[in-house]
Amino acid sequence: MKVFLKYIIQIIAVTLVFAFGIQYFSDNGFKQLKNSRYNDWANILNGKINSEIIINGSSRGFVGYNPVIIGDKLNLSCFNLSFNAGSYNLQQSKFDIYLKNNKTPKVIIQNIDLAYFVKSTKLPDEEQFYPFIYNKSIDSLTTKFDNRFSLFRTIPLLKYNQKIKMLEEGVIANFSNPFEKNVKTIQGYCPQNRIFKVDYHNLSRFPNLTFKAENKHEILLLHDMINFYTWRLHKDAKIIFVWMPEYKLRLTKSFDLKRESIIDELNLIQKKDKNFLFIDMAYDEMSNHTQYYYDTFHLNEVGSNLFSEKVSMKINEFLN
Amino acid sequence: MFFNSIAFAIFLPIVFFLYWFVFNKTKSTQNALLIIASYYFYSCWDWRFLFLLVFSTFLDYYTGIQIEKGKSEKLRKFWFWLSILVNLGFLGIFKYYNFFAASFSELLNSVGLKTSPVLLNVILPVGISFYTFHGLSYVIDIYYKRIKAEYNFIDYSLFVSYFPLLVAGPIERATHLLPQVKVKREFNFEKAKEGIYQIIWGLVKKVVIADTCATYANAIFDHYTSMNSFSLILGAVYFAFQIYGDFSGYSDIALGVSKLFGLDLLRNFNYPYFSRDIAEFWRRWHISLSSWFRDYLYIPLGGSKGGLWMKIRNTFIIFVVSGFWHGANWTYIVWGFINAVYFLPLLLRNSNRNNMDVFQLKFDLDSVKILISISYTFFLTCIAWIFFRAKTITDAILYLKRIFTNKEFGFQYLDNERYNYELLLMIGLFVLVEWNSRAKIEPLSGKRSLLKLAFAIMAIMAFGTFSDYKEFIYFQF
Repeated sequence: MKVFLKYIIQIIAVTLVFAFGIQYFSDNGFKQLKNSRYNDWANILNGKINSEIIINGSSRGFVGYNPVIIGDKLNLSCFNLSFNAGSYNLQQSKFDIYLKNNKTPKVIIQNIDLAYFVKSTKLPDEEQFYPFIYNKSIDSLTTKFDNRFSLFRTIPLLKYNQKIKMLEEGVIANFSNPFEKNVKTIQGYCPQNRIFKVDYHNLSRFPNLTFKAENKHEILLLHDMINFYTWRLHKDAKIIFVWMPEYKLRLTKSFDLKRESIIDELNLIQKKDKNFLFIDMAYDEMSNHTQYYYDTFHLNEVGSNLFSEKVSMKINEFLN
Repeated sequence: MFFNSIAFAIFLPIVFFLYWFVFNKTKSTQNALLIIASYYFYSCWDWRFLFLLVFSTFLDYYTGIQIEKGKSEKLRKFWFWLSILVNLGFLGIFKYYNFFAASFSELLNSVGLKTSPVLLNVILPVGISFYTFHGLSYVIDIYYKRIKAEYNFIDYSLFVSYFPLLVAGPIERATHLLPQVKVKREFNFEKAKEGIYQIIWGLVKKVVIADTCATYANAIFDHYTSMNSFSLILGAVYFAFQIYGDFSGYSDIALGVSKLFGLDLLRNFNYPYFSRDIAEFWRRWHISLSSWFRDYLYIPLGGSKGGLWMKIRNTFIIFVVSGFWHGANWTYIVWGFINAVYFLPLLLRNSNRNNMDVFQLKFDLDSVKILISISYTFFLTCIAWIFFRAKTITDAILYLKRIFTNKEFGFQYLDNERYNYELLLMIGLFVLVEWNSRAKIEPLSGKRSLLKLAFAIMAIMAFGTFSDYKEFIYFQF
């Protein structure tokens, strides 16, 4: 019996060595992969970003703000910290992780839209955390949303379960870049080289949100977010809220009604606080042209470049 | 409690520990523990069916003794038929009553007599087809004086309700298992090692092959009207591997688990998809059921000793009954019938026992012929599986018709894209591994077994299906 128990331990040990080995190889591949969200996370966690401007937002921020253009125009280092498909709560968590490891930025550009106010209850795009599950900050963020992440820490390869392609990509990433266009990132920004297609699911999604005319809850959230930044940034840091251009199909009466009081509130805050700026570009000229979008909600690469230039000019005026 | 569940992963080591360290004094303590464990295992599905299992066990135990003790042939016959009728009665009520009632009502409706069948609202007790057949074979063997009745109730109960085989076989014989439970088991390292190999390989078959194939097979069969020819062919192949991985995986785990307790169960699968004809396929697929029907139905009906017509009749009877055993649906009956039709040419040419030898492939014409025969047999099997898997016979026919009429052979997007192409590669690799190991019970033993085990476990962790958890197909039978 002793021999048998020894044999079982041997099986477990050999399996763990190989499984953790392969997992490490794949994780490491992702971490080293330049121009990827994994490498962005690695840089954030290793304190290698330290940008003067940080852009925050959800998927629209992720694909819409080109930090290279914005940084050049403002002559400041810039990084896009947006959380793809993540709402305000996830954006805050990501920013806290950033601050823990990097210098405090001088300027915050916070993208805002109606989707911003819908709290994330699930962890979107969870694969981006796989190579970092042993990092304490990532662990506390992921396990808060999904208990499986605790298992991922102890059982090797489980996080890659049914994700054979991802495991393969991670291993390949040690030797070459397996990613195609639309996945690569540049300083956290993910340009989308795509043509316009109407996203009916998104169009029907937001009008159904139960916004009330006075938007009390949303206004509270706005103040929460501003306070969140105020408490964390230096006194003279600039906080800029931007409403990106939305494709004209979205610009309906109901859209106006839903955002009216939010806009009023932002304008009011702007009047009171000299370090706060609100830029409303929802109705920008870009809204009329499909060549700038890949769906009604997201700018494509051409659109994001143009928008980044436009928004930079406005920010430049404010900063100087 | 499924073999591929966390609950079983906790249950098994506990029982193993208690069996070898606490209850290892005598064979009675070992058997008592295994019965308690088995009843607990069974009650995890539905404790109410435990009464049925205990009643069925007691009935066969008691009638077995009465048959042996019976002073007159009349009395022996009485106890024999009592056991047969009650056993089949349970099976009939729980498994077949609704089918017969609905079919009879449809028949009356078709001749203009409007009726609505009285259906029973009962759930099929898990494993009833398996433990009923255990009991039946035991009583039949006693009646024909092939074995002695078992007087120790604990030993007999273990034979019927031993948890590794309780819910999906293999269908054991008293001549094979009872002598093993009547002696105290000593721990055997080599046997336990074999058990581990079989458990791990069984899990690979179940969670990696069967469950992944199931995702696609289900998507294709459930939407076959919008699928092209290529997808439909893939659907049939995926189902062939799903049912093989599922059932043979279960059997492997059952055999492996049993070896950990020092008990050998009957081998149920012997690489059936490497069969050169359909007769060989049935000697390799669900061996314990095929041999059960051979011994307790085919041979009593006269077997192949009568004339040609008797052989044909008996062949059709056992295939159709075997199909019906799988479930109360016309699709299973047709599946059995199709297999009988496949078998017929072999029977007529008296070549059903041609491929009994072990073959080796070389670079010659004979080997090419063997490969063609294997492919052809697999093709025939896949056609039959379509009837087994389809919801109705009409669906199966339309599925087949669409394969030949659609004539489009592009890859289609399926519900779940995760293994669109990789799955085919995975099946290819699986076939290759099994092909190279076909002389052994499982592929993990032999040289570098530790390494092979590690890779198999890694395959389970990385490719296994855990999220959309699927139960074993044969539990419903």
